[in-house]
Amino acid sequence: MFKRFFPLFCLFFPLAAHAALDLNGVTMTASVNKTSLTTEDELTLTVTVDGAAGNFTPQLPSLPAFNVYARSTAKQINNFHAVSTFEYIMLPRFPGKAVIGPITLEYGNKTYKTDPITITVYRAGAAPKNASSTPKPNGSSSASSAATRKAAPAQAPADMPPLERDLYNLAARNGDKDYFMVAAVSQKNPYVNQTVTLGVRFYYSRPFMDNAPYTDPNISNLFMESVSSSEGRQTIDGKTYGYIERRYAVSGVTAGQAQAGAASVKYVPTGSVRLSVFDRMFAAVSQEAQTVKSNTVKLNVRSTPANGKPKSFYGAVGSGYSISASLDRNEVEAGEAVNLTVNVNGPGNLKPTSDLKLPALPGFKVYDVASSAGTVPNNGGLKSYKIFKTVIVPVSSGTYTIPALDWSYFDPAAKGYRTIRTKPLEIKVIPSSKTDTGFDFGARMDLGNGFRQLGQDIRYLKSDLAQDDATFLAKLAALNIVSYLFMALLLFAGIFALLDKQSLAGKRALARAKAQLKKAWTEEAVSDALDTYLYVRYGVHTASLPLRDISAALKRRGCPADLVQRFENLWQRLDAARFAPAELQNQNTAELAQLAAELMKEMDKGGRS
Amino acid sequence: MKKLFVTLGLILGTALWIFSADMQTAGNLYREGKFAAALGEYEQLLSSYPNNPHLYYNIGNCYFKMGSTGLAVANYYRAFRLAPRDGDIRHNLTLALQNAGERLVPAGMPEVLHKFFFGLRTDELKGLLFLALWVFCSLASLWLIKHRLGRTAISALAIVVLLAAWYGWRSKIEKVQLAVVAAPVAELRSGPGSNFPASASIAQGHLLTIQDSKDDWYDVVVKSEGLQGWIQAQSLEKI
Repeated sequence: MFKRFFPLFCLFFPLAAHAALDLNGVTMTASVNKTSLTTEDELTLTVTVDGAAGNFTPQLPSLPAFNVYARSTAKQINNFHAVSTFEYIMLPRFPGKAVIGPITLEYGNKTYKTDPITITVYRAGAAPKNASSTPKPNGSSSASSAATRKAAPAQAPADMPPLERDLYNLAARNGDKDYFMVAAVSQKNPYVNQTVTLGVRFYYSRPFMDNAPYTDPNISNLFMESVSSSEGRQTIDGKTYGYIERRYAVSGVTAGQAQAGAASVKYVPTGSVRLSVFDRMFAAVSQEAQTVKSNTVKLNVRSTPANGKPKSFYGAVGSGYSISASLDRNEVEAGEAVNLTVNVNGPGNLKPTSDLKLPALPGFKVYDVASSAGTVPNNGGLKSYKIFKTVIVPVSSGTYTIPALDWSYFDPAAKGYRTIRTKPLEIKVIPSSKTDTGFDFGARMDLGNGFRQLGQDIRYLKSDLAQDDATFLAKLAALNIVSYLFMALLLFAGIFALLDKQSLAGKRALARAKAQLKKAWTEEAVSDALDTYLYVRYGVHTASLPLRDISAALKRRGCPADLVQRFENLWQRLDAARFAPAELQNQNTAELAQLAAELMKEMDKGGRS
Repeated sequence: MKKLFVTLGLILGTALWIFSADMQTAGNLYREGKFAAALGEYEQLLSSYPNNPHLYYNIGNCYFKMGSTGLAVANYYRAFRLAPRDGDIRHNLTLALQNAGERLVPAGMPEVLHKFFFGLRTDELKGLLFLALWVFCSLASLWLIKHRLGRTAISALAIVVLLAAWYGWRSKIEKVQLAVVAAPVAELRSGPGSNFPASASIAQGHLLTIQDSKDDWYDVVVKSEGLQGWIQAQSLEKI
């Protein structure tokens, strides 16, 4: 099986790998190690092709201002990702502005181009303009050719940049030595966080062993980062020196004195004879190692002015900063996280600057800002970036605008603060579709007796329609008219009762009295029945009142006089019967009861209170 | 006349058979887990049989199974108002409200009392009140005219007063415009517009009382949480 498939694998793997390498597209960039140099300096042009596989070579444009004397190619493949680097070492031919035009690459039916690069070339005294090679640390040939060149002027040209000029002039003072080092900065009075360039050069007029350890300068109150390394030549008093230059971006940490101490190189001179490869590898030389040190560079770091310092100043110093802000999504649900990224780019060193402070964002829960900063080499200098990231969570729906974010820096050239700001960002927040609570069907509970509740769910469907829901009571509720009728009945009964209250009372009194008289076998019972009647009918009590007062009360309550007279007669006979038993035989209880009934009947007919 | 009755009877029978078949179809869909399809069937039936508590109950079941607790609560509540003594309706409404963090029976109130208080529909309660009123009117009239059965009339009056209070309370409760949060989450704002800040988010299924309205915003009170604010109309389902 293996034998059968292995050849196929071998056949298809390169194709698959080639296809995989092409997946991500191709980019090509070009950069130089310095943008200003003298006619004696080397220039290294690096072309990087990212994502292209196979054999190809970028096409250099016409370069009349340079002599290309060396080139090298390096290719790397990591995880199916190819990076090819082409290096060209060139020597400038004329002082002035020189442009390296777009470099082109034909690959995969596409043409890729780089941006043009402008180089400033300064005159380097009387050095020959058509130098065809550069000195190598171990190459005696370069040293011998350098010896044929004419002496350089003692002072650097006035139009040379300050750093190059200082290095040049410092080197010119050491023309009596074969090996020496010099160091200088582009500006000696920078502001805090303002990036200046520290250049350190190791000059040599005689060869030395390859393995020459270099020690970076010690720094005090400075932040330092290595930027580039290059080689060049300089003629001092008619003697040609090669040099290796290292450049650093340095910035003051706090206001006050700062210092870049001596850098050093420990080298082994090889004399004037060029060593064989074998000798160089095994250090078969009799010379002892020697050390040279550069001069110390002192800086006076100034603080930025307090006047006019904006709130949005976080410590950046320089010029040409830019800021941008972005959201990873422009439409989210309420409660979902959104990443807000603010990107600041510029020439200075942004690492020591403090973090951006976000303004209050109503309607958002804002988390802490996390930042990351870095530097990238940029045409012999340093370009910094700082990225602020935070998570904001909208708490409710709506359309929100994240306001412009201010960021200020101090511009040393203008000696003033400048403020740049992001564009406002709009975000649409829709209501959340996520429910806060879930339904727990797993609520287990032991119910005892061998039953265990496993969860709860809604009950099943109703399989039929509900029958007519008009129950007996519900039907009654529709009979409003009946209610009105009953209330009318009550009303009439009330009115009737009010209007005929006395009549009714009289009838009730008569009825009660008649009932009593039916049971009356004694005169006392007849008296009681009459008493009850008078009380109910007229509201007059007979108890313990003289007859005269009872008669007067009856007259006052509207009882006719003849009936009062008849009542007096009857009442006297009843009194006689009750209190004069001797006359008892003359009294007939039944007759008295009859008289009383007749009297009450008459009263009921005619009497009104 | 006889022919007319026969014809009417046939039409009625056919209609009942058709609707019963529709209920069965919807039930089958529900059993197969096709809740949205079953919901469509039940809603179509509801247009023919408005205010049928069983249809509201079944619609509530479909919504519940589809995860729309808010709409489930709204439909169970409608069914509960129409058939308060139905145990299934009460059970499902209680469960759906629990799911939303609400309660059918207020805290501290015995369930028996709640069942008794809502044991009769409002129209049934009104009917009972009428009946008691008629009895009282009769007894009172008798007492006024004949002065008889006075104590019985007084007892009847007491019953009428109690029933009237009960009916009044129930009517007051039902006059309150209830609504339920139907959207997965609704936002309570301090004013009728999305430009006003939101003070709270309310999960679906919570009961609200509507107090006022402006454009498509309702001024609501969330009794269970003691909150008041404005909610967009589309987030709510009126009961």
